[in-house]
Amino acid sequence: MKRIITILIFILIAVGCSKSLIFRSELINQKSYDQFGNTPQRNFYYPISISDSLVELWRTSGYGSNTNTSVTIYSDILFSPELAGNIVGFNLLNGNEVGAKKEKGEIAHAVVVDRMRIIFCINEAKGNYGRLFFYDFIKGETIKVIEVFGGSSNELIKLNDGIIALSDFGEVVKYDFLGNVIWNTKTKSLTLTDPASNGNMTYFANSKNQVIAVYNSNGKIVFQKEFEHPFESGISIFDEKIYLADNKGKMFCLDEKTGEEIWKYSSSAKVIMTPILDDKNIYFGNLNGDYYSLSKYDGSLNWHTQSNGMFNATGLVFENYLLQPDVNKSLLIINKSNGVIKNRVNYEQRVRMSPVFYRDMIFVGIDHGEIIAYRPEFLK
Amino acid sequence: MRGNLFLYSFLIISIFTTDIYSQFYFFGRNKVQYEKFEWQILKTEHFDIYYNSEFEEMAEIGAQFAEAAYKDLKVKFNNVVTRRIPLIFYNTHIHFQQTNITPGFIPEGVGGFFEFLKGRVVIPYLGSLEQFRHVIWHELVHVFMTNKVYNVLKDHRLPVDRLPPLWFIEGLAELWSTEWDTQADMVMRDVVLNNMFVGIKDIIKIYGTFLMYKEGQNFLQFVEKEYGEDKIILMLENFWRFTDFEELLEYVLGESIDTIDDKWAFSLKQEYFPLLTDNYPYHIKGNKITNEGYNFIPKFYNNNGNNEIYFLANRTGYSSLYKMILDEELKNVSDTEKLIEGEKEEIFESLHLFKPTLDVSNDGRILFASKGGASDVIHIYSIEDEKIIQTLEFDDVISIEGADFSYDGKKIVFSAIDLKGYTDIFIYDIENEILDRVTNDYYSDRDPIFNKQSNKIYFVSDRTEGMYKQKFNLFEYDLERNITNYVTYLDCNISKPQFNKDYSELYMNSDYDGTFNIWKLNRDNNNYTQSITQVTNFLTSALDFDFIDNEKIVVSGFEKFSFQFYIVDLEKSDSTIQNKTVEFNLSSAYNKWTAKRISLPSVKQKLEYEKDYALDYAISQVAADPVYGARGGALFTLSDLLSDDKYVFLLYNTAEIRNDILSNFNVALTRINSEHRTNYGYGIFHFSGRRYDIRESDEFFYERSFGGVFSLLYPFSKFQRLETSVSIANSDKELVDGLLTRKSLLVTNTISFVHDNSLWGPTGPLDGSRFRFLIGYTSDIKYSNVNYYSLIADYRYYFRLAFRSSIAFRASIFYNDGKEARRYFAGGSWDLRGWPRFGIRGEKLWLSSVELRYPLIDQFAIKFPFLGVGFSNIRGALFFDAGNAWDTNYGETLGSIGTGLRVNFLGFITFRYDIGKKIERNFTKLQPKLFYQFFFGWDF
Repeated sequence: MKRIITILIFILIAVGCSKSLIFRSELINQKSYDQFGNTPQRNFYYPISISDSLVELWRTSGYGSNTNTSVTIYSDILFSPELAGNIVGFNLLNGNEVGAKKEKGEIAHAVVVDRMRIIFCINEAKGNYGRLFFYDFIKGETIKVIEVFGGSSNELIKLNDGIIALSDFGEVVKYDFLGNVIWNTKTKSLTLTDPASNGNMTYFANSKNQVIAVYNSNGKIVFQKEFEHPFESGISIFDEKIYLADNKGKMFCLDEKTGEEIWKYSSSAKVIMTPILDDKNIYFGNLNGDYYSLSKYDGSLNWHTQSNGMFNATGLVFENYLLQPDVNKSLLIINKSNGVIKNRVNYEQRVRMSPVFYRDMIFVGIDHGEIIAYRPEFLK
Repeated sequence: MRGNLFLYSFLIISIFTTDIYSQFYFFGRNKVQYEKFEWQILKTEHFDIYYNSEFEEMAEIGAQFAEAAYKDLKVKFNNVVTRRIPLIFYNTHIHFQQTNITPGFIPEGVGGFFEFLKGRVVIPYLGSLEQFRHVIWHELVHVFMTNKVYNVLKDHRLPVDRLPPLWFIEGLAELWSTEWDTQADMVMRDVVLNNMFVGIKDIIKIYGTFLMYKEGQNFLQFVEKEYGEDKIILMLENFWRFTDFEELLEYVLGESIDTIDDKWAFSLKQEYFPLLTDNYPYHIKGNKITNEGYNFIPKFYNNNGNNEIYFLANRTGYSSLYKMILDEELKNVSDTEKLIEGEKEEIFESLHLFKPTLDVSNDGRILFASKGGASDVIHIYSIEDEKIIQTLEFDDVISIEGADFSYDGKKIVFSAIDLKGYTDIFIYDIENEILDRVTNDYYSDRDPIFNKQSNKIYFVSDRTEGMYKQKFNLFEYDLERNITNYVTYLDCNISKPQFNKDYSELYMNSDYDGTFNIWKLNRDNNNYTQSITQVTNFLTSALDFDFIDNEKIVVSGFEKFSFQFYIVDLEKSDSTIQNKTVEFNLSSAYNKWTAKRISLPSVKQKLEYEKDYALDYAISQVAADPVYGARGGALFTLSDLLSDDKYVFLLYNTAEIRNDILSNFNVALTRINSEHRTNYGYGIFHFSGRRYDIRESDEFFYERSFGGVFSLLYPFSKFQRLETSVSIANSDKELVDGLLTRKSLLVTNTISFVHDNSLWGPTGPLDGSRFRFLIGYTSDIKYSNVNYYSLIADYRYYFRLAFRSSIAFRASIFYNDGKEARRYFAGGSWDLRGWPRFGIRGEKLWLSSVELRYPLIDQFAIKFPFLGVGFSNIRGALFFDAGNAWDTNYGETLGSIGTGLRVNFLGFITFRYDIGKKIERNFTKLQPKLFYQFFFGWDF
């Protein structure tokens, strides 16, 4: 008996040492902010009012820089994807690192969280492919790795029944949560937009000036509309309309069923960020540092403001203010009604990530993988 | 004008880099600080702009260009440069050449540079606001690109020590800073139509040339058109993926490099081959009369029936004034003579080959401009007397370009840049010695000529307003009424207006058809009509031309990447172009444009009061030595933003056991100031450790010395200087370990005169001369243990045999005499070849060498299946050396004779291999065996 216990203990120790059990098992079935924009439609609107100042709660840093994506959250764990191929987990409440998954390559989008799993694509340094990981962070175990032709710098979409990945070479693939391919559709064009979905269809655009919609059920192309210029901005869906901007700075509102243009508005420069909306208006900034508020019904200009930097990360919309990162080392708090910059939170480094509002906290990512958590003051 | 930017940039590699090579200790040319700059700072949103006080208006316009560039480039690069960018403006290239921000000489072809260490952008004003804008944008593309690449690599946690290849860096800077213009098109036409084009795969063959810039620009333009605008930024954003740029191209463009190159070559052929239908190369339409070097600004003069052409050229590497005599049929050259050789003395420091000034009066006087010290001067040379009869220097005029004698030869009209950076027209009355300024504004007014009556001046200017804003059109200035009028109003650039021999017709260069060809201003009776007619249809640009008679011209044309002269008969020009007339409407031409500027209160403080020192570089090393154990050291340099004032800090330790650490610290701190013409340096030092005794082979002694040094350097010109230094050092030597010591307090004074106007080839000097004459005295002022004087005379002369061959002579004597005089040494690949390196030692030393230097193999390449290795400019040498060293009694004279190979590797080191025989016993015996010697180093 003594020998059996010794052997069992030895096996337990050996197994324990061989796996990076980075997270605790009691985390199963907790709440989450599980994809970029939290929903497949990319929703950045929170109908609450905040004050024009932020209180810093904690500040932490990972191993390398992030791109314009966002963190995602599961329970108390915040996942930060880094361009150097790391996913770093931090404690949501104090910023302490709780674990890290390190791979060679690049992660250029937000990690999708599906209960105890995270799903992400690592772009290989050499070669035209990436690897889509289905990773169980409770067990510290890679469940499946799938080669993605062209790699993927685009945000993943998490649906109720699976994941949609859009490769840089324009291949759309739907996987179930175990990593099995349900369908795939090849469009054979350089595609650098963050797609969005209304649940029924997925929308994306490409460098051949096309906006494409595919059915989520079978991947068949619903429409493929040609425009004047290439697209690299993210896509938002709101009230049966899709919103996106082209590389010349033209913002489009399209009918989600047909792709027909409802209105368009010309801004001064290329737009990369995902447009953000509330129940009346659309807000977006461009690389020239111009920021716009348009009526989402007819595209008429409500206001325009200028920053000395540039906007390539997506902001947040509150009832009274917009919270918009400016790459040029600041986070702007903009009065939603008139475009006046009420406050500017300045940093030593570039602001990289799109902020996330979750559990009354705001998470902002700046250069070198630094993440800062704030608590806004809420107004009644 | 734009044409000059091309010319200005053209020979970055081909000629002037040789100056940089010559900058090393002992000899070397001087960067003379002629000006006392009074720096001011203009702070804009993103830039700190440093400029000299007179240049304020242009600096404000430049600030506007810079902010506009920033706004545009941040969008193109999807990147913001978050630091403030220092921009340093100089009002002319002549002042720019005095900058200390780069230690080397700045060739005339460099139009600005971005310095990586401190991120400084240094830009001269080159005479036109469009060029100024172009250069500011070009350099800021470099700033944004390097910042982007740095961020991409750092974001991916990769070493930030690499950049894209030069063709991409410069091609992108051109693509995003300027339009595809006439110069660019001329270069590409030339290489495509003459089968000189190289693809990206082989672009290393044209590394560093102006062609590489333009091919890079053209390729990226092709990428935008063929593959999409977004591909260029994708190359930078994916830069982290590949260390091989070709692999990156293949990844981003999705095709093999061979396919990409093939497509590019095909698109160029499609574009340029159709030009052959209506246009001609020079050698088909003209009689070529030059073959050597690059030849510019031909001026014909009928000297009592002799057909003479005066011109500027660089046939020997130095820019010089030449005379050529043609036979009666104007077909053959019967004689060519060099009248003035430039770049050998201060007054002819540069003849500005690519911004040339030359004219011949009807009475046989030649005027030409040269850089003569602090600014340009005009020389008048008498053809009859064969000498310079007058040199004209003007206050406040810095650069001169383009001049013309009046018909009677009593006046000169010329274009010049002043302290404010204005490029304006001036008239000089030779008889009355009066200088009149005709224009006074920031428009670029160039190429002025008198009419026959000398009551009007025709010139080109970018003051054009309206539809063709900033195009160089032809203007007329009425000297009696003092008004300026448009003569042409065209959507093209015009240059070099020129009357024919009898002043009946006015001709000019125009790029209306895509390249600079000769056109004629049409006239109706005595009035010019509003139209021009094309006279020549060359495939590539005509730069300068002059009339031999009313039908024949001599033209300097660009063909096969060379500038040569051709005699062209205008009567025989192609009939299809004689009818090509372009009309214009002068009624819509009026007024002049105005430049936007940023007017902010300047921080009007001299920089010397706010010198902000920052680290230039720091290196450190720790080494483990099997004999001496671990040792380490570090070197730091700090300098101010303009690099006028530098501190060099050296620290290392030579302790062999732990107890010696404190006593074996070697420290030196030196300040070097080169802000003014007189450079000075001073410092303190403490050195200790074991020294190799060059008096007794294989023995060491311990020495500890500390003290200070002060030195002064005064350059008389670029070619000559005076150096003096004084040092005081306490020196304690242990001659026999722990038993015999020698203490001294040494004071050393030296004074030297140094001359260097040598012209370098790939492995060493080819022409000119160098010498140093030094006298010094070293004395122990406390113990009288040391007391000796020094004399060094080292003379080298290079006699040019042909363009790439020369004979080099050296005669040197090094003489120390007195108590404990230091020894000199010789032997090895650098002096007495064949003899052991540093094996010949003595307090006195003499050396003499004669060496024939010649080109041996121009290009040598081995192509393996996986890679290729290539060497170029492999040179040969035949040498003879003699000399010896001695302390008190002269021994035998030693020598050597042999041959060798020299290869320049990557431009900064030369490998040398010699074979020969040593000569011994006072030159009575050759040693029986051959010696073989491999080492590195430049030719003497």
